[in-house]
Amino acid sequence: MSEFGQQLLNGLAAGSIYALLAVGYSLVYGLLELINFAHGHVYMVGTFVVLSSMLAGFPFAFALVIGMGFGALLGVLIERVAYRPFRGANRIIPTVSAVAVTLILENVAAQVWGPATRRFDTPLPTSAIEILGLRISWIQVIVLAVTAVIAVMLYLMVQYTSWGRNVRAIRDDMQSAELVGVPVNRIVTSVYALGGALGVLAGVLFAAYYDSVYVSMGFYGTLYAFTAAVIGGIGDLRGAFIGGVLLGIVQALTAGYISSGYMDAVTFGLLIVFLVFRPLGLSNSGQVSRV
Amino acid sequence: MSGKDSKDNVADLRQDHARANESSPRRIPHAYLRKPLAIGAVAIVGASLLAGYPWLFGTPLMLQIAISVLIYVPLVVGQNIITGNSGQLSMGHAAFYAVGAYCTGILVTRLDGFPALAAVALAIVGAGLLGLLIGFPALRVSGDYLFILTIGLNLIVVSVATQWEAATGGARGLTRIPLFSVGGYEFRTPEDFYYVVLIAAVLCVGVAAAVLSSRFGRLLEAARDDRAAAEACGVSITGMRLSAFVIGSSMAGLSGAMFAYNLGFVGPQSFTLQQSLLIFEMVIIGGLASIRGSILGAIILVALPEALRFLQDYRLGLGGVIILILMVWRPNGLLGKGVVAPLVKS
Repeated sequence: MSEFGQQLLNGLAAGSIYALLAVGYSLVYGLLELINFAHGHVYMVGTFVVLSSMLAGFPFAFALVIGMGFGALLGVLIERVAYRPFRGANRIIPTVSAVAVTLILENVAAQVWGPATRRFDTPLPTSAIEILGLRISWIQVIVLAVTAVIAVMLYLMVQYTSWGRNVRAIRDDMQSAELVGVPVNRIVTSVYALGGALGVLAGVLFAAYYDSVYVSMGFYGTLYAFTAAVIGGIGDLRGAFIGGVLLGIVQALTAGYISSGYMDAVTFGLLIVFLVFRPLGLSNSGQVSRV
Repeated sequence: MSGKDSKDNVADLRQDHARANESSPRRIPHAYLRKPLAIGAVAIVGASLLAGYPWLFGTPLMLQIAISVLIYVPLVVGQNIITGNSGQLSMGHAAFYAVGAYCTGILVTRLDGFPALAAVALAIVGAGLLGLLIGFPALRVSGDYLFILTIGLNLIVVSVATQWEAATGGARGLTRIPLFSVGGYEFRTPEDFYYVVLIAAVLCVGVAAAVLSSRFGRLLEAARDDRAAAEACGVSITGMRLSAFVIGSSMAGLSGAMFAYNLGFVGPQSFTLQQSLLIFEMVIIGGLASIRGSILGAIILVALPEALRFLQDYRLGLGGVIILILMVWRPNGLLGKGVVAPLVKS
């Protein structure tokens, strides 16, 4: 039983990271009904930037700020280059151009930082405490705390600020929002910036949690987070958090009771099952169409 | 892709037809003579170039490049039938490629003296079966959801190939695949094997051309262009999308078998998502719904980085840059058909 609890806890921590990533998708999807395939690569590149900043001698907190800023800029740049020219075009075009962006980022990252897995040392405490027979490491506590804070913050921002009101207006009807004076382009840009920055935060937590950073975490990040978003109901912020945590737990249980080698097969099997049988996800808010 | 746009398309097509009919009386006598002659000349020159390639450019490197391109041709043609002609955004073609390669590899390493042609045939059938299997869920999702679903399929296949050591040899893969042989003749040298892949590629292109220019090919594109109209005319959308998947994936199976025989080795690292991305790039760059485009895409992305060695490391990213420019400029790819383009119409 205590082993089960331990797996559950590990899954919860890993799942929180997926949840943070999935939020990046759901924000953009909710706004533009567009899947931001490059999101995972923004998070990978941003995490590498944090690593390089730390290696250059900057303190961790400062490096994190640099990385998040870089992620925000990259998010905005990608929106400008690969998405905005095709807004209103057939949805296939932004999908293909997003793939093009991921290819470029993946290639550049592999050339700059090398294809090998790099260690990611942070000053975050690595020790663990025991509560009720469960080993809880400080990094897990930090991951859970950061995720909870971000979740609450995002909810408040979307529901109670003027920015949030604009976001919701665009989500409901972009053209009408533009007609009544919502600065659509500025809001969309800010959402990509926020998504990029949060993505890098998730990337750093991921890298610190597993003590490693590598190029292919871009694709895996994309797919895990996307799976999480689909499970929770894509476009729905609450769903993204629920889906992320559920995915983390399923993965941890697979690794614990079957084999960690089959983690990917189970994850993507789950993704396929959800896409085919329950494309609206668990939340079923009815917001999503055109699946 | 709204209804209005497709009506405009239809109107355009009608005008084109009308114009063509008006001017046709004057053009026909020339066309009758000139076109077959030109086609015949090009065909003869092309065929002799392809047949004489080992003598003309017989360096080992040039030969290996040609073999690589020819192995990619069925893959890209197959992907293009799914994505270009049938309009389904599939992104896991390396999964079918892997099934073809592993079918061949397992059969010929486990069963001594298993005939090579039978192994190739079973590779095609095996990949086609996976295409059928994935075609069913693909019927329920479309667009970028199908895209993600097929990426998932690719990763599942790689994960199984790596984990299921008993059958696939795990991460170390299957080694000691015997030479390709027919009726006791072994294709030992690269020159010999070149003709094997050449025949495979030519057969595949021939089948694709025949299928796509047939009534079936037009129904396929009709189902892509206007689902409602096609359905109203009695075209089974389900049947069309499913058959596109089966045809496209069995072609990938052929490539997989050729790959296994070319390298003598099959391992999971050849069928990663990057491989799928590369195939996808070839289709988008070469041209949607165009067989010539598929071949051009394969040549560009295999031969060009090989010729420009210093670009080798940047192959994927370079393709990305080209695609980004193409999307603004020529969203149908270099040789893509401009008339029917609802897949990427802005």
